[in-house]
Amino acid sequence: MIGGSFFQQKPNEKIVFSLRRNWFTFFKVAAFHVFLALIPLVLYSIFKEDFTKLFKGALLGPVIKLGVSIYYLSIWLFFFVNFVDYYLDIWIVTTERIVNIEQKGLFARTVSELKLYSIQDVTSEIQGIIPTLLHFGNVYVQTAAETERFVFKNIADPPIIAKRIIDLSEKAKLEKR
Amino acid sequence: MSIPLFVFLILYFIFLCFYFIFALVGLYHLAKYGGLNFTSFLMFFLFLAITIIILFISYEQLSIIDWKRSIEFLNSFDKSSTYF
Repeated sequence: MIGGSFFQQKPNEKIVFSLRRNWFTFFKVAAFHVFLALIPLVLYSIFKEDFTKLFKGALLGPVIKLGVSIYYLSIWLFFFVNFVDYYLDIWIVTTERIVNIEQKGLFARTVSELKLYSIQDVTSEIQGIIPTLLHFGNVYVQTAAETERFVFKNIADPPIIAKRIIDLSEKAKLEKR
Repeated sequence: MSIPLFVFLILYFIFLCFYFIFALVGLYHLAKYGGLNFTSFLMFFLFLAITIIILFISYEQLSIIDWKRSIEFLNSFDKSSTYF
């Protein structure tokens, strides 16, 4: 089920669509981890003879081997934690409300929701070269309460999503009357 | 001053304990909140597979070292310096 136990669907409620951040936001993080993983390999290929001698050292040999193992395990763990953070951030739009489930690291989650009939204004925004080319950006949803503002961060096709939310909001307002 | 080599191995095992705690929490989150779908399953499997590969290569490299040895600090650095 979308959102796991944090999202309880009401009896007459239908999920219209769910959104995640654009893949490119995670691609940047993944590319950085690949870069970190390649650094020791590149250094080893350049200074192969020196490293071979170092590995034979009575103290440095074992310490370097342990260090390399810790380095690669750490990179892989951070990559995984970043993936979990990316993958578990989700916005669920139903016929009645918008539910925002946000994973913050491994030990914190925030779940918030707003009713579609309370939406006053929806704004889409695409900023930068890559977001323009890949069609992703932010959608800001403003409710009647001035402080309450939902942000769909780095989602695909922000203008289309904004339009769909406006349509759903108007429909929800009509049904509430 | 001499220190037994296995001290470094103990530090490594302490790191592994933290690694497995974080890994288990991450896998639990993915399984519970990610839903039963292909992406969750693939990442679950991939994480375990790559972890096992890294640990296997580490074991291959570390198992040939005699961890019972003690290292004379100053002597070791003297010897090591010849490798630079």
